[in-house]
Amino acid sequence: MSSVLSLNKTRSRWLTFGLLALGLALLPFLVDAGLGRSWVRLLDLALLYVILALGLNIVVGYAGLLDLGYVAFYALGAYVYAWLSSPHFGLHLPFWAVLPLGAALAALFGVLLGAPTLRLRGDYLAIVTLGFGEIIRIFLNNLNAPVNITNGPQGINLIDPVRLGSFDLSQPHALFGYTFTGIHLTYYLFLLFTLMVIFISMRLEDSRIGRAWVAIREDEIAAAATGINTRNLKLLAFAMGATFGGLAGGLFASFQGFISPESFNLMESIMILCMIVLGGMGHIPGVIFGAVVLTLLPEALRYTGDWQRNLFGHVYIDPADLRMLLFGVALVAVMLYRPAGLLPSTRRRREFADAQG
Amino acid sequence: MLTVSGVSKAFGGLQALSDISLQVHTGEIFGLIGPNGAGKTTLFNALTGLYSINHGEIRLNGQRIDGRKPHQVLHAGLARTFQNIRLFAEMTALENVLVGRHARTTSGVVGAVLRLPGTRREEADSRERAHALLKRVGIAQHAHRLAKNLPYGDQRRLEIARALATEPRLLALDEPAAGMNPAERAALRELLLQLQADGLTLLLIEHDVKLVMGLCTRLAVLDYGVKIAEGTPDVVSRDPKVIAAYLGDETL
Repeated sequence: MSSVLSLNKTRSRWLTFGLLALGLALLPFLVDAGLGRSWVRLLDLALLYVILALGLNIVVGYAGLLDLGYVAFYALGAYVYAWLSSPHFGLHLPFWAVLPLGAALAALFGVLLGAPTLRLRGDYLAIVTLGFGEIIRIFLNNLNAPVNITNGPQGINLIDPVRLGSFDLSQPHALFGYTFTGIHLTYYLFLLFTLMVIFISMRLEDSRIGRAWVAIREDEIAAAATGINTRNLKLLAFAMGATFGGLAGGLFASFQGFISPESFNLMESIMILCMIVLGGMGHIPGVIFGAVVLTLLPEALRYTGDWQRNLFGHVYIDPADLRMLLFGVALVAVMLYRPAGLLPSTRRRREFADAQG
Repeated sequence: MLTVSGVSKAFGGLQALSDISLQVHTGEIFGLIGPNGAGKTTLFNALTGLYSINHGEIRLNGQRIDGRKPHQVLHAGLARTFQNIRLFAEMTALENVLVGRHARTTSGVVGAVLRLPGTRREEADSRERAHALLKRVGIAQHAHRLAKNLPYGDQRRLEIARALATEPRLLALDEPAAGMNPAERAALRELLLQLQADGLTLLLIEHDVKLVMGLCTRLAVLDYGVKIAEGTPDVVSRDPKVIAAYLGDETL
């Protein structure tokens, strides 16, 4: 009886999984046909933000360390990619070598920046990490003299796209009778990395390490008295979060082909934090949802100009202004009516599954 | 088991502990009593590495544990509970106990992500032990409830289960019976006696005189950070200094 039940459960799970996979595979084509090519590009960006948000979620959501300088790791990943894969230094290493390097360097900086902040909590930690984030950005802005490392505010251009042998991901390719453009192919590459990051996050959440992080978030003193080496585990959280940030940075550099310090300002850090808070801190589906919504919503609000023209026959408020206003209102509304986030973490589902199995 | 020699701790000008020495022998239930503010919890915090001490030394089974970090003290075999319950509120009872297994398990990030055979075994073993511990303290039915939603007495018991999960040799309990009703107290008493019978050494701060007198093998009494008496409950309860500390000095 129970074996039949569990067989049904496995089958329905695979069915859901299959449908989800099919949906994700077709998504760029549906979006392309329905909304246009620029939205496929946005989809690519949304995936990048999912990676970033899940990375920051480890630091803020699990370990409870309010990090406002997260974008620094994103920047490091991007610059490592740019240094090793562009005419700037004349290096053109393959992406599969550069991406891990960028992620590793970001992890190292995660530990370096995390170490001095170990005694700090809450607001104080937020202020110091904010400072670190700005320091990295200002370094990137100014390291163009006496030796030109970052090319300063002009940024680095002509960054190599992702290439596997002779297969250039930025060029259109005809496969199975269909033409895949660069942004379609990029979508699949980013999707692959995003799924990997989701997988790692899920596995970590339900593990010895994940529980230790949550314990530190809940009560650091009790966690230490229960045998958790809080220093090492906090550093591990910073390193893991930074790794995902560095990975996203590398992908971003290859995707844009151009990076400058301007892309890595404080607003980015705040935006990624908003994604987590708005979606549901510490809850993977919530964080993914928050990242997708906050990437797409500001773009969707660009259409407010068209709406005005249709309604009143005239554009009264510049959509660029109205867009940020509505965005702010949306944020405030969510925090008022769903303070725990749009998809808050409910442990009930897991409890239910545990009680049955 | 535990040897405290000449331990002093001052907070600025306040001498919280002065020259405290005491010995807890293997297998006994050692009581630590004294009026409010006598320094009992301060001594607990000093023992478990939350406070650094100014003078003296603390040894657990001959190994020095003063000057060590809380998690190192726990590794050495001294676990504790807190007077004002400190559970991981947003975690289930089971997860709280699983956190207690952290110190005695080793799997890391790679093991967790790849679910290596060793990690799976360790995780299964931890879960089994955690369930057994919840049953042992009598809250198995609450395994999947959030710690913050448990009744008060059960929260205290969960804290004991979490401490036991760390496989301590000495368990220090800070007012475990506080806020419990008589039935819960009786159950707690049974549990502590069982733990003693299993070979665990217990160090107990408690205000409930009846519980302390009935349960403890020996007692130490603190007053204003000074140890004023030590011995069996019988001897201590007749000590004039102890009576003065609790009831006030007749000459005043």
